[in-house]
Formats: sequence, C-alpha cells, structure tokens
Amino acid sequence: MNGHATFVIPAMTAGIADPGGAPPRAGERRGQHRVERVMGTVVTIDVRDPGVDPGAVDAALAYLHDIDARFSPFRPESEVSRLARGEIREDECSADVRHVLALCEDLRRTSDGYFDIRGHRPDGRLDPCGMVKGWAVEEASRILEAAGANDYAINAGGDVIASGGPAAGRPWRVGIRHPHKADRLAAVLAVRDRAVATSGTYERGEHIRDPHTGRPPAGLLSLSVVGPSLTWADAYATTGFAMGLAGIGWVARHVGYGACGITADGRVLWTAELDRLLA
Amino acid sequence: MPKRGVIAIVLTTGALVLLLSFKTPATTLPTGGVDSAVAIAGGRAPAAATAAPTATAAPAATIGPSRSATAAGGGVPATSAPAATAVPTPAATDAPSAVTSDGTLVGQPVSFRFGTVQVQVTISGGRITDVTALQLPAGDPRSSQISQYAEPYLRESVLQAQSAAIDLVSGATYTSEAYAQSLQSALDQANSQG
Repeated sequence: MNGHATFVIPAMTAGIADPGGAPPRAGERRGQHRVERVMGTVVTIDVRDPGVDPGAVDAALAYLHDIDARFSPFRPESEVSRLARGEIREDECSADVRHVLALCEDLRRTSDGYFDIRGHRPDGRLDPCGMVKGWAVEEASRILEAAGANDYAINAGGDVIASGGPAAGRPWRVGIRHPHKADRLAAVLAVRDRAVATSGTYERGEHIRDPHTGRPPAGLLSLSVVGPSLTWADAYATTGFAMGLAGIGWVARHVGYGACGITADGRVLWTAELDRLLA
Repeated sequence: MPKRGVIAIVLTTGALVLLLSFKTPATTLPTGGVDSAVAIAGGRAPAAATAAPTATAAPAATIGPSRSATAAGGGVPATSAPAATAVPTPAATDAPSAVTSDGTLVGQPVSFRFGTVQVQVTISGGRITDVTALQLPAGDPRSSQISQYAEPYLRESVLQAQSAAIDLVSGATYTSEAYAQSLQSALDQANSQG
C-alpha cells in the first residue's frame, strides 16, 4: 500500500477495543486517541491538535461516566430509574435531568409524538436514551474545546462529532455503515464541524418502535442525520427512523440538517443538504 | 458514492399538489415514488399520507422551516408550529392532464405565503426520473431559505456495499463487543497496510 490505509472493516475476529476510527494517515499527527467503554457502548476520542491537556480528555470521559450513572434506565440507582419508579418527582431531579427531559418534551410535541421517551419501549418504561447520548457527547466536546481542541472527533458507538479536520486541508471522512454487511459502507461523508448520527434496526434488535403503532417502523433499515448539533442529529435520527420513509423528509425540514436513509428494498435516499458532503 | 445516476424524486409543495391532482392510472407511477413524495412532503407516516388529497395538502405546506435556534446547536427544534406559516392556495384551477405514458408534466403554480412554486416532472419508463422547479420564490432571506426546501431534495441511488478510506464509522448503536472487535481488526489491518 502507499501509506493511505484503506479502512475496510472485516468480519469480526478477536480483538481489543479501539473502535472509533482509523489511525492518522502517513505524515499526519497522531494526537491523542482514547477509547472507553461507557453508556453501553464504546466511545473514542481522537484529538489531533497538539498541546491539548490529556486531563481534558480524562475529564470528558469522566463526564460521560457521570451522565451514564445519572441517566441510565438500566441502572437501578440512576435518577432516571428512580424517577421512573416514582421515588422522586421530576422537580426533584438535577438540573441536567430536568433539562434533558424538557428537550425530550419539546421534541415529542414537534414530532407529532414520534419521539416519545415513554412510548417506544415495549414495557413503556421511561427511556430518554434517544436524547441523552447525543446531548452528553456534545457536552463532553465542550470540555475538549475549552482545553483548546479544535481538530478532534468523538465516536460514541456510531454517533459522531467531527470537529475541524484530521489534518490540514482534509475533512473528516465518516462512513455510513452498510445495514447488512458490517464490513462494508453504504456511503461516505466528508465533513467538518458536523455531527453524524445513525438509527437503525440492524444492531441491538428492533429496539425502536413507532409509538403510534407499537411496531417497528417500516421502510427504512437505517437513517443517518447530519447537522451542526449531535444532540439534535441523534434525536432526529431516532425520531425520523420511527417515522419510516417519511422520516427522511421530516429531518430535512430542520434548518441545517440533512438525512440519508437506507430502505428495506435496497435504495439509498438522501436530501439535497448532503449532496456536497457525500464523498 | 452514489452521486451518479441520481434520480430526483419529487418533493415540493408544488410537486405534491401536482402528484395528487392528476388522475393517474394505477400502473403509471411508481408506488415508492408517490408514497414517499406524499409522505415526505407531509412529514407524516406513509399510511397517514396516502389519505385524500385535501387532507394532505395542509401538512405539505409545512415544508417551510421556521427560524431555528436549533441550527446553532441548542434550544428547541425548528418545527414549532409551521402549519400556521404557510397555507397553500392553489393559484390555478386547471389541473394537469393525466399521464398514461412517458413525458414531461408541468404542474400548476402553487402560491403560498412566501411565493409561488411550479414544478416540472419527467416520467420515463413509468417512473419519475426528474423534478425541476420552474418557479421558486426568491427575494428576502426567509423566502430564499424556503426555496432551498422547495427544490426537489430527495435523491436516490442503489444501495451498494463499498469500502473506502475513512476516519470514522457512523452506524446504529453498536453492541460494544461486536463493534470493538470488528473495528479493532480493521484498525489492525489498516496499521499493517500503512
């Protein structure tokens, strides 16, 4: 090869976690590359700027652990679990939890109920994960930026913030995973200062349901959303995916956001917003 | 990726009205195209969007996004109460004639609060192959912003499995084990090649 590694994800083999991204190409700065298991997935932080305090990366990861402890519906002692069991009232929750619940409620109203943290699980349990991860990662990115990071990427289990570029003059190249073939891509986006989030049914079973029908949405295998904020890219991907095919257009109604959907009948559909980003 | 062979399928308020208004023989239009056109313009699920044209015309007008605090990275989503901002009023009464074969259709101009939209649809082999805007509102920034959304914005290509040089992968939340293992082996491979 010529030093520009072709990053093909092969079928699963034994290995240790370092999932977030390819290494810098030949001649590009290594920076700081950290991997952490948190929030039920794997988070990679890749800072390319020189001179960023490693303590800032530690702090960003610690922040995600803290959010996980407070928001996870899978941890019995989290605030969200206690709220769900009625042990505390919403007005007794921390400011962060109240803030995220308010964001969820805003989106529930403007999405015609398609984003519903009480309606999408079969057991009806309170589950704000569709908002929490993107929001938490975006908050964590502010910790990096406060320490001077500009050229960095965070990949939180497939939800991405791509800030600046990996090297001078080059945008981040973000692959959208093929829904059937984990070792292949369905599309590639070249982005700077953008968030990319994907919802789909091909991992973790069919865990997104249409709250109006109680069934998995039809028509789409995955929906990726690109926009300026990971909080909303993630939430819109979850919401739009629950809408099925119509969700692509629903995402596009939001200024600055574009969508790329992969349909059950083998098509890739994308909005004009993404024309200039598709590599 | 799939920029080549791009097929634009619909998606303007005008296109919606157009599609709903011509009396189409059942075999003429691709169900996928029409369903997604209607659904997307209406921002609703396909099932809801296949209702009577009069029912779907109103949500179609909500294409125009309201001013967004969200774009800057916070605040509320941008879709609050768009219905009140753009109610379409069909400006012409003569509906386009029915299509039974390939050709080009010019839709009726549709006026709404920010201007008039008129589209032309090309049908080839029974499928919509192109949509162009003959008229779009222009002028103040608000109208321009909406023009952007009134242009046909859904592009299509065939899903292909590909590989390419990338820095990161976006996908539906991965189970950590599978994700970690798969990607690590990829990184190992990339490293060995680099």
